[in-house]
Order: sequence, then C-alpha cells, then structure tokens
Amino acid sequence: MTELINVTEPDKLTDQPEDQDKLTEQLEEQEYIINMGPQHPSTHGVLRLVLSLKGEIVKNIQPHCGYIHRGIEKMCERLTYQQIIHLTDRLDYLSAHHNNEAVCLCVEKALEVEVPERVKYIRTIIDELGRLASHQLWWCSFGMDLGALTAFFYGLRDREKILDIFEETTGSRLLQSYNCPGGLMNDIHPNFQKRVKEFITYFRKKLPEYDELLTGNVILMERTKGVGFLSLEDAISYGVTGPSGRASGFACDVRKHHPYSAYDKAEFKEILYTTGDTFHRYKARIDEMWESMKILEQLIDNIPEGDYSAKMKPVLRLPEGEYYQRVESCRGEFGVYIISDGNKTPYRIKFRSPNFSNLSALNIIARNFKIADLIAIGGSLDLVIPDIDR
Amino acid sequence: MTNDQLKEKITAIEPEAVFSENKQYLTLSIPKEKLFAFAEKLKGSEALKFDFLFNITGVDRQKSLEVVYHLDSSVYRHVLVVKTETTDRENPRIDSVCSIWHTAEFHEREVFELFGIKFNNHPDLRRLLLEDDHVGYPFRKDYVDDNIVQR
Amino acid sequence: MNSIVKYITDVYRAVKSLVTGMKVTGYYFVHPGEIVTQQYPENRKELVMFERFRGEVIMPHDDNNQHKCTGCGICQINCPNGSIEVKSIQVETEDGKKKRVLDQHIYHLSMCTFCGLCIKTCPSNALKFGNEFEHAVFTKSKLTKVLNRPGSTLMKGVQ
Ligand code: SF4
Ligand code: SF4
Repeated sequence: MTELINVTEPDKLTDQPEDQDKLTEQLEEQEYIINMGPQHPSTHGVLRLVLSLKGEIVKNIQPHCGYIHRGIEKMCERLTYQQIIHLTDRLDYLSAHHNNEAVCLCVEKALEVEVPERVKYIRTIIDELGRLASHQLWWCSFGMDLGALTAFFYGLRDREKILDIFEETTGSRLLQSYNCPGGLMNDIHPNFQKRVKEFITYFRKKLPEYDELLTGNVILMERTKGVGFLSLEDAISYGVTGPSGRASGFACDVRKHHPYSAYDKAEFKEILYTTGDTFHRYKARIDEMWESMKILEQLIDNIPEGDYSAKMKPVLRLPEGEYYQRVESCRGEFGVYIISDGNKTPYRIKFRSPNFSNLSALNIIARNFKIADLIAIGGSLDLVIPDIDR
Repeated sequence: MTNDQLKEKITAIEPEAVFSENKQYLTLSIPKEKLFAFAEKLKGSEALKFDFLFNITGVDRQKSLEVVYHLDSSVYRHVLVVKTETTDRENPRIDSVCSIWHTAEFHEREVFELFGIKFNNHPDLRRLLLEDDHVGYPFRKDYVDDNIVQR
Repeated sequence: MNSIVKYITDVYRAVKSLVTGMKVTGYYFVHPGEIVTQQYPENRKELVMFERFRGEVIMPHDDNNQHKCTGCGICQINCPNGSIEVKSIQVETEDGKKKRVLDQHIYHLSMCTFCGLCIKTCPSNALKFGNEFEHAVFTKSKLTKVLNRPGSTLMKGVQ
C-alpha cells in the first residue's frame, strides 16, 4: 500500500536506520487508505467503501456505488405501467411489495381509481409481513456481522414461515410482483388468514428469544452502545429515514404522517429513540417487529369481502401531470415520482430510495470510530445495495 | 396548513415564484439564480421550516433541463415542490443546495452524472453510479447507445 | 472500592447474559423435534410446492394433446423482457377460410422474471405457472423452450 502514500521528500531518505525511523514516523502521521469491498461480507452486496484510516480510527469514508446500476429508471421510460411493477421488485428486494405498492398507488392516484377496501387491507397486511421478514433477515445478518452466527439460524427459521405464507398466496417468496395497478394479481389463498394468525401466535413466542440471544448479550452491548452517533439535525439534513432515522428521534414514519392503504385503520406506535447510536437503531427495529404484529392482529380478521382488483383498462394512459407517492418501506421512505405526458409509458420516473440517502450519512456516523465499529454501524443502517444503485 | 395558506406565506418571502397546477403538492418554479437564496429562506423561516429534502430529480424537458426538489417539514409536515431549470444544454449550471440540506450531496452527484448538470459550490462533484470513463449523459432523451433495445 | 464492585457486577452481568443466550440454544439441543431444517435434495420425493408457486411458464395440454392458445400474440406484447415469441401460420380450414393458428410458442426461461403478466393478460387462459423449480442446466439454449407440444392442436370451442 505504500505507493499510495506520499512521503515528503522520499528521495532524501536512505535505508539508514534513523531515516527508516523517520519514514515510519511520517507514515504513521499520514492517513492510510484501504478499500472495503466491493466483495466484503459485511457490506451485504457490492458496495465499495474507500476508508481513510489513522491507525484504527476511520477518518473519512468515500462510498463508491454503481456496481449494479441497471438504469431501472431509464428502462421504465420504455415500459407500460403494468410492466414497471416487476422492475421495482428488484430495487430493494427485501421490501419488494412496498415498492410495487408505491407504483400502484401512484398510478391509481393519477387515474383517480378507487381500489376496493379489500385490496387496501391485503396490501397493508402483506406490507407488514414483508417488514417482519425484512427485519428478521436484518437481525440475522446484523448478528452475523458482529460474529454471532447462532442468530443467523434463528432469524432465518422464523423468516421461512413468512416466506411460506407469501409463496402460498403470491407465488413467489422474495420478489412477489403481487400488485398491479388497480389491485392485486389474484385473490388471497383460502389459507392465508389462518396461516398469518398461526404465525403471529408463533412469533410472539419466538421474538423474546431474539432478545435473550442477542439484545442482552454483553458483546453486542459493548459493540453497539455509544457507537456511531447520528444527531437529530443530521438525520433530518441527510434525509435518514426509517428505523435508522427514528432511532435519532426523527419522526419520519410515512405510515403515520401520510397514511396510505389501510394504515389509518390500525393503531400503532411510531418507535422513536433519541440517542441515535447503533444500539438504538438495533432496538428500533426489534420494537418495530412488535408493532408490525400489532397491526397484523388488528387487520387480519377484518379483511372486507369484495373484489381483489378494480376494473382497469388494458392500456393505462396517465393524464398529463406529475404524481408523487410516498410509502414506508422496510428501510425508510420510498417514493415514486412519475411525470407523465399522456402516453402509456412515463416521461420520467424517479424512485426515491431510502438506502441512497441513508448511505450518504454513513460518513458522518462512522467518522472517528474504529474500523471494527464501521461494521456494526453499516449493519445497523441495514443497507440494501440494489436500492442504492437502481 | 392548506396549500393556499402555504402559497400565501411563500409569496410573501419570494414574490417571483411561479406556481403551477398540481392536485397533490404545491408546486412552484423559481429562476435558477434565485434558487439558493430562496432555499435558504425556506429552511430558515420559522413558519415554513422546510428542513427535510427528500428527493431531487433531474428531468430532461428537451428544451431545457429541469431539477425538481421535494421538500418536507419535520415540524409542520407540509410538502413543497420547487423546480428550477436551465436552457443551456452544453454547460448547464445550477447552484448546489448541499450546504442547506446535506442529503443533496449524493442526489446532486446523481443528477450530475445522469443529466450533466453541474452544481456550483458542490463540495465533491464526482460520478457516483457510472464508471469513470463513461461518455454522455444517459438519462437525457437524446442519449444514444447501441445497447439500448428499441421496442 | 467502587471500581472493584463495578468490575464484579460487570463480570456477573456478562456471564448472566451469556448464560441466557446459552439457555435458548440449550433448549433446542434437547428438543430435536423442533428443528425445522429440511434435508434437500434427499427429500425430493416428499417436497411439494404450493399450487401457485411460480417456477416456469407452461402451457397445459389435455389428453387429446390440445391446448388453448390461439396464437394471438398478446402475451408477447405484454412481456416486459421479451421472453416470449409467438410464431403463427396461416392455414386453410375445411370450409376454405384462411385462419391463423399457433405454430410455435417459444419461451425463454432465462429471460423470464416471473412477473405473471403473460398469464394474466392471455384472453384464453392458455398459460399457467408450473411448479418445476430445478432449472439449472449447463447450456443456456436448453432454457429456450417450445411450450406447445409437437402435433398439438387448438382445443375446440376456444376462439
Ligand atoms: S398464450 Fe394466450 S396471449 Fe399468448 S398467443 Fe396464446 S392465446 Fe395469445
Ligand atoms: S412471466 Fe413475465 S417475464 Fe415471464 S414470460 Fe410471462 S410476461 Fe414474460
């Protein structure tokens, strides 16, 4: 790595011991640049971070993204609104349903279509199931980042139950493509309600295990408490949303403040913490799982009867204008901005991805902490790389 | 606050803002020279407090290049859409709002590489998503690439 | 003095938190019945996918080797990835009229994202998702399939 470092007047230094000492001294004073990623297990995807280190202390972080930039927004300019849906799955694959829903809600808003109540309920339920599944996976991988491999198996065990529910109703485990403008692709499976209720009873028993296994654990506490602070002003200014933003006290829950689908029918708390350190980002997600289960319990028995989709024309042409829809995905605020010129394809579509903004704050969060803490901080931000690169 | 009340308040601080029709959010456009000062007022004003910039979008309007800012207030929860445009396609320049909302740093870098709009006073205007030797601005409507499948 | 007390309580808490975690893992150690791991591929025989599982697009045929596809090409237009090619030919029916019928319904599994649009938009419900999921092959061309079977004809009554 020495080539990367500029030593002042290197020609004058010889291999005499005193000169060598001087060289060592100079090198120690300078920042040491290393690459973390693009293939690093703790970046959860192909993200490259260029770190400037001083000893073990991180002085600066330069994220380099775009390894999986697919130009989805540009691709969408050639696709009809029905066809766009399946691409949004591939942004943040762990909140596939939320992304689908955002596009559908935006198109429905533009066309002024009122979707049946049943659709709203089902969408909300699947949203929350997806959130649970995503947070479970985050919990596993966060544990694994910190060296707790046991956590990984316990989280995946419970996540499997949700994926089975998804598979039975939507046909896919991860990228559901279950929404279409106007409603859903098909009705819920007859077993759906029974299985969700079974799952909630099951998971209410299993979630305390998460706390026993990891939350109280002395190693986790030492590595997360007081590590990686994000102040409220910075959270707002950097646009850090989702559980990561709420851990800093930024009340940014779209479900609460700009309700969509059936969220106005459910009672739930917005989880807010104030310190904004890694531990509270962790806690916020664990608490959110409890809240998600509460929402599910309130809605699952009340799914109204009705159609699973509104009547839609086969070719959708949005009236000229601009439409924006915000939803709360698992990692923060996801937004769809459609500019239509009256054609069957959008003139410009933009996805506001939560991870993109969350990543921009990584530099100020992890600066002046140890490089090992960066792993914990990155894990607690729960970045999903395809969402950043789009 | 309803959109009409918001409109009044904004007209008070910036009479030159041109409002446009939008059912959902209050939308206005502002000349690019005034953007920075206006943005500062939007965030600084106690009655408006637009402190959360949640989206920056570049749009190629063919005649001009447009940048759209979506603003939210974490206190009052009202939303405002600010647009500004430049007709210069060769060397488009717009003031950066990085120093007001830090999140703009990444968003502006993205707009820069995809649309070629340069942001004045941006601390670190480099490419973010594309490879370093990429030629052209792919999200512009006149961008041609043989690999794009026509349908 | 205080620091010693703190040191001892810290050690106590740390050990306690470790024991709490061990209790959970210990519980599953002595309750092997609660283990959910499946032994794939040994359990291939018992493994049943859910009925709606999206493994691949198939065209169901009945016992007389008849399918419902009229060769209209709507699925081809609706597929976002261009993974379907419908080839139709003109044939003469018994009463002398020209009619377009399906020749080959070509499906590129390698390009399919299982969005379900072809199935949803097909006017005669000729397509369906199949449950097959073991698609790994050594050559890509094997993933291009002709969905209508050789010699198959259009089912009676489908327009
Ligand atoms: S499968 Fe359906 S949509 Fe496709 S060509 Fe046949 S009848 Fe038409
Ligand atoms: S499922 Fe979707 S991607 Fe696959 S062939 Fe049908 S329309 Fe095309």
